[in-house]
Formats: sequence, structure tokens, C-alpha cells
Amino acid sequence: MNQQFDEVTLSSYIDGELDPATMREVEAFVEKDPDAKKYVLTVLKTTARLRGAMNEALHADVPRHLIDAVRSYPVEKGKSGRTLIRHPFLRVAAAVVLVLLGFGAGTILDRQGTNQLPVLSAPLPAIYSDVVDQALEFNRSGISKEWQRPQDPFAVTVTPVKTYRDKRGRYFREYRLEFSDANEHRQISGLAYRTAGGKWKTKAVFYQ
Amino acid sequence: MKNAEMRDEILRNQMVGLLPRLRRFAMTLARDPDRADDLVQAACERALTRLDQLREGTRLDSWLYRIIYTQWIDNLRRKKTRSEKLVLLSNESRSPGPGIDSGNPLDDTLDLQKALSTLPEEHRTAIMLVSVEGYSYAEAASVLEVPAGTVASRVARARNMLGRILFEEPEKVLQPIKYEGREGRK
Repeated sequence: MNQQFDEVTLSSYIDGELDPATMREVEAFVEKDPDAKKYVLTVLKTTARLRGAMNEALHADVPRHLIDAVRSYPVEKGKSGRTLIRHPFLRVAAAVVLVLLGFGAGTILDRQGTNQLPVLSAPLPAIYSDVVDQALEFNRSGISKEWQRPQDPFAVTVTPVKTYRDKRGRYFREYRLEFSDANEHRQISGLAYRTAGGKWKTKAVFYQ
Repeated sequence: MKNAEMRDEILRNQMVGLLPRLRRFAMTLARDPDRADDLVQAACERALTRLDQLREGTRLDSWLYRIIYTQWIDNLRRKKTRSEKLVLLSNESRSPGPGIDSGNPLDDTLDLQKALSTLPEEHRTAIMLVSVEGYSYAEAASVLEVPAGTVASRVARARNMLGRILFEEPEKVLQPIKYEGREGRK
């Protein structure tokens, strides 16, 4: 388009991102070079249209649930938080038979035959770890997420139940994992904590 | 009211005031209103649990944009993995999107939005932050976590593409928008 300045420089000139000396040089060049001038004018025109079009979005009504979420979602502090926290294991142990499980192995359930519901004994297939992880990361307590693999006759529903933090600041969530098909429904509960990498690791499962 | 509570309340009010802009930015990424709102809500909730990470002097809007952008990228990565394994039962109805017919006359807004949607995501977000939000390259770089020079080249490239789409060959580029199925929260 021009010999002296590339489009990145011209674009930066439009945005006022060049140093004063270069700004003056580019300005002089744009005055003389018809292609450069056309480029600048086109960009200015495009930008004006873009702003106009995108600004329309600012006049749309904001959904009530978004406003409510911002106004009411609990604020939790990293160190000096006022969130009521009790050690999660104490709460869980009081209500259930706690089955502590090793971590890397993953450990909640297994399947007996391809068309059977999973039973609560063997390692959790990695696929359900992802399901639990997704629900715990993105769903608020009480909000379920439901999945089904194409090859499975049953659906999996994960519902975060409660959220805690321990003294180290780690987040824990209790969750409910349900399997159901046309004939049967099974439910277990789990407890997972959030790792530094943002993944949820199940620490314990229990029968209700 | 205690100081901390008062500060939280002020931040909440500021966040509510920013919601229209947050939604617009999220829409640039998600290109679907429902998914954009899901993204904004998740980002706001995440921000509220991390208010202690908001440093003095940090712009609240930039911080929220960064959270939105990071969440979006994380979602994309997870979705890529998950989509090979699972079919989401809930929210199965797929949003058809505006489905703009390129054979019909388009008004400026639709033209622009559609043209913008055809750009690669990194170019879309860069030009959105710089040309629409009025961010400096350094500020946009901070949101996108890339060098300012990268922002400069993405903006220039985006402008080239937009100019070509809008003024040179719109009929070739303005094809109907394709939307993917929602994975929003139940």
C-alpha cells in the first residue's frame, strides 16, 4: 500500500499509539500519499460505524437475574473472609459413612456391563471426573447439570450442594451424583476440593 | 456498615453499572446472547469471590474483562475436550442465531456485527477493546495477556479484514452466522 509505513504503523497512528516524532512523520506521509490517506479514512469510517453498531448493545435491558447475581452473590475473602466456614469433613462425617479415597486414582464408581448402571465401588471413569469438574466449577449450589454419553442408556446429573473453605483457603464442595435411566435411579454424594489449577478433585464419597 | 462491607457494596454497584459493557464484550466472544449472559454472570460471581485480588489502581472494567476473557478461553478448552465425550442433555435447544440472509439488504448494525463475527476471535477482541472501548494498546494487552505489539498487529489486521468485508466484497464474506449448541447452565 505504501513504501514508507506499513499498516500496523498507520493503524497505530490512528490510535495515537506512536511517539510524537513518528506521529508527525506519519501524518506528513498520509497527507502526501493517496493510498495511505484512503487507508486512514477507511479505517476511521469503519471505526465510527463499528462504534455506532456496538453502542446499540449498551441500550439493551440488562436481564434481572444478572443484576440480582451481582447484588446478592456472596463475597468471599481470601484470608480474612467473613464467610462462615466449618471444616467440611466434620460436616460430612456426621451424616454419612465416609469413604476416604486416594486421589490420583479417582474413585467413585464402576460399571458392570455396558448397559448396567454404575455401582459405587471402583475407580471413577475419567469421563465422569470431567462431568463433576464442570458442574462444580460452573454451577451454583442447587443448580444441576445433566449429561449423557451417546453410548450409555443412563443420564448423569451432578448437583453441587454446599460450598466450604478450609483454613488453608481451599474451596470444598459437596455434590450429588445421580444416575438414572427409565427404570432405575441411584445417587451418591461426594466431596471435592478445588486445586490450584482450577480442577476439582474428589476427596471422599459417601452413601446416603 | 463496616468499611469492608461498604467497599463491597460500592464495587457491586459499580459492577451493576458495568453490566451493559460486560455483556457487550462477552457478546463479542460468545456471539450468542444467552451464552454471553452466562459468561458475564460466571465472571461476576468469580470476581465477587476474589475481590481481595483487585489491587488498588486496577480498573474494575479491565479486571472484569480479563476474567471474562480468561473464562471464555477456559470454557473453549474444556469444551473441546468434553465435546468429544459427552452430549449435554439440558439446554438442547440450539439457538439458531440471527441467521442473517446475505441476499437481503442489511442495515449498518447487522452488517457490522456480522462482519465482526467473521473475524478470528483474537482479532475481534482486540479491535473491540481498542476501537469500541477506547482502550490503549497497553490496556488491551493487559486484558488479553499478550504484548502490546501483538495488540497493534491484531487491530491492524482486524481493520483490514473489516474494511475488506464492508467496502470491497461483502457478498463474499457476509455468509450466515453459524452458531454452536449451547452449553449454558441449567
